[in-house]
Amino acid sequence: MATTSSSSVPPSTMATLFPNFRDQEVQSAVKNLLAYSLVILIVPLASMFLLKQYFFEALLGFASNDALTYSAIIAVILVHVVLGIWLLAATKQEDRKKRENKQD
Amino acid sequence: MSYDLETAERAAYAPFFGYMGAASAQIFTVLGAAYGTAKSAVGICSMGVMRPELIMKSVIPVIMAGIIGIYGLVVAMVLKGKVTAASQGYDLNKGFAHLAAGLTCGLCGLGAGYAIGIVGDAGVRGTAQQPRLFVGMILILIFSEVLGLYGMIVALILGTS
Repeated sequence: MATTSSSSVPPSTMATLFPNFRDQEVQSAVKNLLAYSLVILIVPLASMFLLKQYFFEALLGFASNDALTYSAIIAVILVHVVLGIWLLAATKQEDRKKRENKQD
Repeated sequence: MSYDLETAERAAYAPFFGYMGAASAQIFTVLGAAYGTAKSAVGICSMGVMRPELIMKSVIPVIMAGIIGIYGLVVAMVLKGKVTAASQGYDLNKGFAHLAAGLTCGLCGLGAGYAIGIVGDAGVRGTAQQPRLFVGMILILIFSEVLGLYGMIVALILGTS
């Protein structure tokens, strides 16, 4: 009875936007996507400016220009590290799904 | 009367070329990144209708296009730090070097962004049908991304020498 009454309720806006949002797999994928997107947006910019100010200039005493160049190179390397972790996570998700399918 | 090369090289408008280099580094890479994002988003949206759980894999072309934009940001920041007023010893040679650096990074990024867009569109649609295509798509995307990386390396060498 409870299930029939809940199904007659008009779907919320979230349900109309994502019809299978309650699906466990889709939900974890979207959560993963949000977390990784935030990381890949913040890591390069934060590392570039923080490394320049607090590591190269304050700690090692480089000139402003050299510090900017070195921190830029490190930021680009860090972006590729995050991208590699992203790729690992994406392929691992696929493997886990395959294993669950085999168990079924 | 001979042409005075020494004075001509210390022109007042030399910083113009340096600033144009910094601007073009960012503008052209962002053009490429925007095209790559939009073109691969077309593919992602059309495959995401059927397979929304593959979103984590299919967004990778967008990330790669975003990294092209970061190349431009980095080069523009580095170049902007080097450009000074002509009265502080910024001559035409430096200005032209920075313009060359900016154009190299910008146009290489434009080309790489176009490649990422087209590869991402086709690759994401293909991965939805045949998951084993994923590794191939990633390899092609990495090779197109590296084209932009070459431009950034040359730009950093040109800009710091």
